[in-house]
Amino acid sequence: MSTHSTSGSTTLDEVTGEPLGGANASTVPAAEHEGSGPLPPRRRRAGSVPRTRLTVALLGLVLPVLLLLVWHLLSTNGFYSPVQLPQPSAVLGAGWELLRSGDLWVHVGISTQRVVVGFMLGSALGLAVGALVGLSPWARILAGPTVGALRAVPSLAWVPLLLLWIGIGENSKVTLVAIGAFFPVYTTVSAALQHVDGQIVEAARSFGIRGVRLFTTVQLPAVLPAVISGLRLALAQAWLFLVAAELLGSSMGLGFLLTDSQNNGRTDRLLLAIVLLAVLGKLTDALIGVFERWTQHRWGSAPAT
Amino acid sequence: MRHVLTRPDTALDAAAVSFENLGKSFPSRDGRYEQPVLTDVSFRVEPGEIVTVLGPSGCGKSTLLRAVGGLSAPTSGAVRIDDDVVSGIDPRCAVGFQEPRLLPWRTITKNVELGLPARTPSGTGRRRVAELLDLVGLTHHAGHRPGEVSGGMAQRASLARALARNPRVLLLDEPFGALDALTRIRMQDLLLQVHRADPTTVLMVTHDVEEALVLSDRVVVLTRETPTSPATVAEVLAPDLARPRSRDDTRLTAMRTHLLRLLGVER
Repeated sequence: MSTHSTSGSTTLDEVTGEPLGGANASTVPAAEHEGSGPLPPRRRRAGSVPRTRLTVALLGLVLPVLLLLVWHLLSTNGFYSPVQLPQPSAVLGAGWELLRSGDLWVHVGISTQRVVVGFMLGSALGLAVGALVGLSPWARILAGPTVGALRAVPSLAWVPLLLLWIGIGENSKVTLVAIGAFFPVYTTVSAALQHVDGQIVEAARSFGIRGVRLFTTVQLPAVLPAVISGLRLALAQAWLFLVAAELLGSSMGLGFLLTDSQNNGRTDRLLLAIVLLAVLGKLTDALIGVFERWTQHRWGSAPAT
Repeated sequence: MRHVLTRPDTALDAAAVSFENLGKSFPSRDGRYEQPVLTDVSFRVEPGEIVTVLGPSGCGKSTLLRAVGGLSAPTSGAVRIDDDVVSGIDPRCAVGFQEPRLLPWRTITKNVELGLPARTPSGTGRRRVAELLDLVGLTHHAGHRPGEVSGGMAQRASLARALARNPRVLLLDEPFGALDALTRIRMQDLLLQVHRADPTTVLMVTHDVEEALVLSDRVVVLTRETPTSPATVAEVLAPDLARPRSRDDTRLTAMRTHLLRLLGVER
């Protein structure tokens, strides 16, 4: 404890230093963490579960490799015809063929773009409307039932209307993806905000923090875990709605590749599109994981709300 | 160890608080009638005084304090800070709650910063927070999160956050009630040090007779006739003794017996 003396200051003695140091010892429960690392160590799981990143990653590949083997077996032993189930190598060949012609990048690129733009728009809007409905009782009373009813409309029901209003171009597809991303974020955020600890909100208000600043300093960090899981669901929905949009009217994208391959009997390309969707979905989900770790680092883990 | 506390350059003069026939009622559980909690409460806290409000639990002590901070509006009467009637959160007050109420995802430093008045220059703010953390003995835990420190430390951080606001009136709602006896005594000493360095007005709610007697210039006793009737001021006691006071002072013993009798405990 530093000692600094300034003219006109009041002198205090002994009390702050020593007894307070002793106070630490008198309150036993948390004393174990004090002075140690910045965060208490995570609770270890049962000893038999592997922990190193490499082992975990490798073990995660066991099942896909097994599936690949079964696939290969079923496609070569005559159980399925090549039209029903082409060999894995044929699918790889189809991928190579599309890659050389440049079509693969077009399909993957345009689909990813639609998902990313639609997801961004939809989840931003979901966060905004979710915040409004979660924080304002008036918004909840007025808009809650309407938004709930809109959520109940099946995704494909929007397609004819979107085509009629926005046309068959990019905008209608991005809008459909945005609709898909909107609802998971809206639902999780509005529900979580209603359960933020009222005591800390009141404490912040007593320090003159209100409005947007109250939202960004207290309420948003408090519901961050819910926001992240909402974003995860929203991303999955975005891919789902993307395929719906592309199946119905498009000339590019993985959904188009699916219908086009179906019409031309190219089961190899069809399977390729499915594998690509799985890989892209997992990759974009991993990006959310990166974002989650960044927010945890930035704000620390907020308690579950 | 000697410790020197500088009065912050930004410190503002202490303000007076006056209660004028304050009354408060809450809607009953079924919403069919109003249950009065406080009635006709009138007293004045002079600038720089330490006044404690003593009363049985559930008698509306916290309600009284919340009315000063503007956290809830009285049903009748008014609270004035200096000459202004309180309406809404008042920037001249800072509240120390019974629970620390820290943001669990922020470090202790970042939590104390929340108390700084709006538009504090960042350099000044950082210096002030460091000074306050030093004062409450948390310099070495500045980077910890509330979940990683003890209850007593969290409560000290909460006090530092309230002081960061440079309040003209410091409102404390049983701030040491949840602490163990030893930590409580240390916190009381700390409060007196803080007050000596920067004599702001302190209005504190407690149900601990001992605490009221050791700390206050005056003790306002709230009582009610039955547990369902509203509470009002029964007596204002002024323990006219210099601080720090010994907890074994015989003059306090007599007052303690008197206060306990007022609260319905016969010895």
